[in-house]
Amino acid sequence: MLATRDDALVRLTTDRVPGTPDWSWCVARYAALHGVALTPDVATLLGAALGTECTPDETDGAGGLAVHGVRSGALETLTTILQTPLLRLGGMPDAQRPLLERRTTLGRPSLLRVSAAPFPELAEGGFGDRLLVALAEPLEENDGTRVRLRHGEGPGAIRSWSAVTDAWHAAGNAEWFVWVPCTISPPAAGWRRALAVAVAQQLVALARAVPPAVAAHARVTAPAAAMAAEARRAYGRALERMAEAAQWPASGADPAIAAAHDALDTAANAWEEAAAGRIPATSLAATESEITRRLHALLTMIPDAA
Amino acid sequence: MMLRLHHLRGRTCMAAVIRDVYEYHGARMAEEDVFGFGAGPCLDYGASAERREYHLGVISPFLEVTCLETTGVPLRYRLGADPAAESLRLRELLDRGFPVPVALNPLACPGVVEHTPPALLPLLTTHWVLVIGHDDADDSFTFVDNRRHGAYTLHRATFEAARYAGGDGQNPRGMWLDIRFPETLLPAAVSAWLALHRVILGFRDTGGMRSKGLDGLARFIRHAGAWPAVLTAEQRELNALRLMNSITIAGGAKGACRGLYAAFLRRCAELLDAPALLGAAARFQESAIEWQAVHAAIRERDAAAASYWARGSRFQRALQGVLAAETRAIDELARAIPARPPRLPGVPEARVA
Repeated sequence: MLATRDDALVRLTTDRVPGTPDWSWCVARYAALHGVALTPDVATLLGAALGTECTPDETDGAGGLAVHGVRSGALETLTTILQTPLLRLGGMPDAQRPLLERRTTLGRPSLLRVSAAPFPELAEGGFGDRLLVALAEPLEENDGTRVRLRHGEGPGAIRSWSAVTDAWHAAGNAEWFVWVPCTISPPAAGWRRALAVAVAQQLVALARAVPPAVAAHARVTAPAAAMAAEARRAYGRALERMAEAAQWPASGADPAIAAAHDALDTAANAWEEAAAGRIPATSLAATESEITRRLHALLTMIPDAA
Repeated sequence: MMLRLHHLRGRTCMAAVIRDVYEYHGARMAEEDVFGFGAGPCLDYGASAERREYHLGVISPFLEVTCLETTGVPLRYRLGADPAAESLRLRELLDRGFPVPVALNPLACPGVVEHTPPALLPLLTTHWVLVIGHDDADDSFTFVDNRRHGAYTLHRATFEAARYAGGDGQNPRGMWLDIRFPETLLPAAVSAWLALHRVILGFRDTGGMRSKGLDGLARFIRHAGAWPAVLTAEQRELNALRLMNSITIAGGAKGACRGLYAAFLRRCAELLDAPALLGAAARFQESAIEWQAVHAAIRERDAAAASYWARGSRFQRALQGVLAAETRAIDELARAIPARPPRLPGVPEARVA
């Protein structure tokens, strides 16, 4: 099921996809730097990344809740579906710095989890102290002590490892990952199964969405909405391409795929409307549950993967 | 402050901890359920030519993540930045009524590994326990684990040291699991469907490095046949010991936990109304016996001897027996599972135009 850049599947996954300003971009970029083609949209799909979560909203000082449309556990889901363990490192920040500096000196990127607050360039406000996945890339003039932190296509933020570990100290945690990236090879029966499992896992995540009553007290910030909208559009793109690779349309699932794609686009628009204040956050429940219905309908039409 | 829960011993530390967490929140789970919902069986061959180490993992390294994901329980791994601050956080969580899974270095934890054979001690990595109480007067924490019915109590300083002790390979780095238990779990049939498919995904892996699943096991067998030419006697013995430890976890799970998985499949046959899963359960039970044959071959012969590894040797025959049994088991499992997942509650039928 797993494949490297030498396999034919790369043709499927190397299409240029608009940068997704979230964890999936970091994961895809990290994979690319390791020679593996894994696009952000495929990562979004395999990580079952769609889902609503609330965090304390500290962006306007008024308290309350902020609602997000991308699940915080998507990275873990992606790596478990790909069967490649995510090696977690962290602990005492001061002990981590030499390891990270050494890694940077060797030209290796690192995936980190950092609080958004000390790194406003990464996600332009709206995230409070929510933990973000970021990629630390070595600089061209690389002495190992400084890196470029990135969370999307933009220039990111150049910081010393000391600044990162100070932020970890302040946040009370320090997390970074070593992961052996890979992608999934179509169009074998195993790939069909992987897609079915990923979509079913997505249904599970959507079924655990924030209830409308909670969302009524939540604010949809522009950056969170942009991330949520892009994730839904990315999911639609990946679903269409991967279903093709798994030969789902051959079993008559084409209309169901198109309907799911429509529901994902509609939901993406709704997130943007909610951020602009044109619809309340509670109305997102309807568009999200429409995604659930359509994905469920799709799963009832898939061919037998055995 | 001591939380009350119905603790049971278990075969593996993480599965026992997760079982206790479900139990505490009112969800009845047996250890085989945790193992099954966690897509526990796996084949993961790892080799380091540089260190002359060959490892065959037979239990999923992310069993707990998968179990919580497939049953609909949000979780996050956390790595503590500061021992003292972590102890405060732990007390706060306990005071709010949450038992907390915490990783310890077993070698730095008095009483936890007293019955472990000395040869296996270097192979012990992180040990998961469930912290259930603290005592301000004694400045101590109390936890339970898979190894005994009773609880352990450690002074805070010793406990903190055990959370951060050891070198790179064994330092748990203050790791703990942040589990937000929901009011309701997913229907067990949905969870079972997801978990069973994940096992097949893993076993039928045909990836570029061919290091996982049945391909990974076949590769391991080929490489093992060549070990006499590349490894010293001491290295051969250590690699055999490592394999034996994988097959039988120090706590007592035999047959690479395939028997445990068979018990889960028997339950799934009812959950999914798929009686064919009983056949798959029987195949996994046979696989457990084959794994024990490998274990016996390692125990009873001199793994340092070059002839031990040769083609046609008892060890090689036992490995071939495992490969055949695992292939039969996974084929039967793939045939037995319904292709489509059970209905999720609250999701109305969508008509496709």
